[in-house]
Parts: sequence; structure tokens; C-alpha cells
Amino acid sequence: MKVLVVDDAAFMRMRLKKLLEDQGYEVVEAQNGREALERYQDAQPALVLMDITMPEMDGIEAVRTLIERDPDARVVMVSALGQQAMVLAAIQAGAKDFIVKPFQPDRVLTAVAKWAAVAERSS
Amino acid sequence: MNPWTPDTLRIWNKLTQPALNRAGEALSNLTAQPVRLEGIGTRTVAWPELENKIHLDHPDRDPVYATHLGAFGLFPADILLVFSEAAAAGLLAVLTGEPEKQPFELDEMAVSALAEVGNIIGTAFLNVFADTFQQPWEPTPPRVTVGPFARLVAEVFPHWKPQDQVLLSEAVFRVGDSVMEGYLVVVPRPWSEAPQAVAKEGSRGEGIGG
Repeated sequence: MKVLVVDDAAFMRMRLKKLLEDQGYEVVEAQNGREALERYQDAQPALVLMDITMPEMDGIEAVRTLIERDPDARVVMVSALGQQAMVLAAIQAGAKDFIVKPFQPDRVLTAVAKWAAVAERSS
Repeated sequence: MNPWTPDTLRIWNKLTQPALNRAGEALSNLTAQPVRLEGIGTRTVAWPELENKIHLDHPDRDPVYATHLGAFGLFPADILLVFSEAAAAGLLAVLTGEPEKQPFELDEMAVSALAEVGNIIGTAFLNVFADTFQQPWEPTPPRVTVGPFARLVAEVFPHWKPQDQVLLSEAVFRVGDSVMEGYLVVVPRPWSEAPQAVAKEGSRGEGIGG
């Protein structure tokens, strides 16, 4: 099962990658929203973990564009920007869930397992 | 120019410790160690006074490590987190779970980790204020710079004027048994600056300098 991790911080991508690979997921990485859109098309991941504050294109704009292109895309936000207005904006853009960074590993794994199962059922 | 009225200062003082508490919780989650941030005090100072203070603690031979974030929404501002080399090394050791490197080296992953510390602490602040005022207050991607404080100021705030007043919150980081000192500097921007322009500036870690 392939997961696209989108974060401009190499440190956070490394942490998420290790967490997911230890559980048997295959990880594809992108450094910003624009790169995420390209990677998504190439890799067709089951799930996207998306940061918000990034250069080039932020996570909210990337989710909005992604959902326009693929209404079945499953995106979970992973961001430090846990303000009520931002959580709402992310969900309205089409995100399925919002995890506030820094994340608890179990919280991430539970969300990934949930949406990976949905992806498996629909494939 | 002093945009800090007694009312705004009172609000800032009131919200600073809750914001530091939230930042401490966030760092605890990130490091899997108990982290506590204690505010020493918040006050406004003119740039030269701030520079002198940091220069006394950290002369030019003792570079400081700074993470800069722009902020837009509630009000346009710049946030600067400043650490000594010892504090930066200590934080990195905690973050990576590896012993402190001697001599201290700032490689790509270390820059990214320091940027993330700035992002977590800065955003925890913004979140507390945003939720209190029910208005978004978003950061730009963090940028890490290293060097004498005066040079950092010239790089990050090229239009600074000596009479400009900035808000300084000093905090002590307690990570396990270690105590590290850091400064949080908030500089309001003129309202005339377009938020979009603030939002798109810079990218994480690219500002690193020797």
C-alpha cells in the first residue's frame, strides 16, 4: 500500500517515512503542494499525508486541486496549524482527517490504517 | 514607532504562558521527553537594546541560531526564535535521539530539525492567539539562519529602524534535566504589506548562513 507524504521539512518526512515503512507501507515523498500533484499522478497512492505550510503551493490549495482532479483522493492533513479555522478549511477542501503536528505515532497509524482499508475495499 | 499599546501588551502577556505551555506540549510530543517552556517575561524593546542584550549574552564569536517565520492573518508580523549554539545542539540531540556532536555541525537534517522546532513553537503561539480571537493567524515556512545577531537582523529585517519597538518574550526550555535558554522576538509589520506577499516569501532552511 502506497502513501504519499507531503512536507517541506525533510526531518518530518524522515520521521513519517520511518514510521510508515516500519509498518510495511511504501512511501513516496513530495516537498510541496505542486510536487505532490505531480507525484500523485505518477504514483497513484492509496492515501496522502499533507502538511499545510509549504512553499510553492500550500496544503489547502493542493488538496482542493487534487480533489478536483480525483474526487476519490484520500487526504489526511498533518500540520502544526491546528487552528479551528484551518481545520475547517482543510475539511471543506476535501481532507478526510486532520492530525496536529507533532503527531502521536498511533494517531497517524490509526488514520492510515483506516483509509488504507477504505482504499483496499474500493479497488 | 511603537504599535504596542498597553492593551495589546496586556493581552500578549496573558496569552504568552498558555502559548508557551502549548509549545512545550508540542515539543514533548515531538521529542518523547518531558519539555516545559517557562516565560521569563514579555516587554517591548527598541532594536538597539535587543541587539545589545543578545550581544552581551552571545558576543560575535558565539553565533546565535535563529528560526524566522512570517505571520499573516490576525496581524502581519515576523517571529524570530533565537537560540545559543549550546541550546541548538541540545535541542537537536533531543530531537534526533543522538548524542551532541562535537564540534557542533549544522547539516541539512539539523537545519530541517531546527526549522521544525521553530515551526512547532511559533505555530503553537499563533494557534493560541488565533483561537482566542477567532481569526486565522498563519505562519510562512520557517527559515534558519546562523551568525552574529546583528547580521541576522540585517538579513531578516532589512528595513529595520533603530526606533522601532519589538516585542521580546524570553523563555527557558527545560528538557528532562537540561535547561536551555531561548528568545522569542515578535516584530509587527506595517498593515500596508499584502498578506499574500508575506505568505509566499522564503522557504524552509534555505536562509542558512555561516
